[in-house]
Amino acid sequence: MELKYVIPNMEKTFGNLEYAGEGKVEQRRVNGRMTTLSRSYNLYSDVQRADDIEVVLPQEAGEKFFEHEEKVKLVNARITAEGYKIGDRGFTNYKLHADDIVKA
Amino acid sequence: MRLAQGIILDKEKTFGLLKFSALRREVFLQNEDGTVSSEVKERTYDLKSKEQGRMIQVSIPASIPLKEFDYNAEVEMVNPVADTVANATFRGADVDWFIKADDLVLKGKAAPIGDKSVKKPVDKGK
Repeated sequence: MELKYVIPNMEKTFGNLEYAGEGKVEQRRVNGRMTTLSRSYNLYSDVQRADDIEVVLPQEAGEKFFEHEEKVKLVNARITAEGYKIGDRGFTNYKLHADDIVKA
Repeated sequence: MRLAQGIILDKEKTFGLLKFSALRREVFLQNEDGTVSSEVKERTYDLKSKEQGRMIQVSIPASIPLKEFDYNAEVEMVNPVADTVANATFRGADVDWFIKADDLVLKGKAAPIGDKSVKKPVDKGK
């Protein structure tokens, strides 16, 4: 079935989050001018140790500056899923969206 | 990212008010030769979710007896876990969510936590 998003229990799903660094900025040309749509940041989680955590913030949140490995938390986090395939097999890529990142 | 440790849901925020709708299907165990046996493995129910604005499906193990709540009875899932399956399509892949829970109870009448004794598998006469 389809779900719009799921809201994780942050404590149990991610544990403590630390800032790792900035990721990609998604931009689009609007009326000939480049506008930012969203910014992504990488985080470390002591529960989900396999990958780093990639969180996408809307443009309204502005740019974020934290020290490397500074403890942070997310505001209104939600998870969506999209698929990708390798050969004939499908895999799930989870996307974490949040309204803001603040100091924990 | 993969979230290899799974996602623990905040069920209130994800689903909001849940209302019971119907039993959707019973999944049967397979015999060794691949034919379908008469033993139920799990039952899937349809619930109306306020936050999602649609009907959601939740699977409950067969060790929990069949639930026959009234239509629109307010219910609650016990320990829901959400996961996904991805299917490759001709271009890219589609993702489907699914939810498994330990039990389905009427809201406000939660079964005593940790009371596993009640949950012992019922012997289904074959």
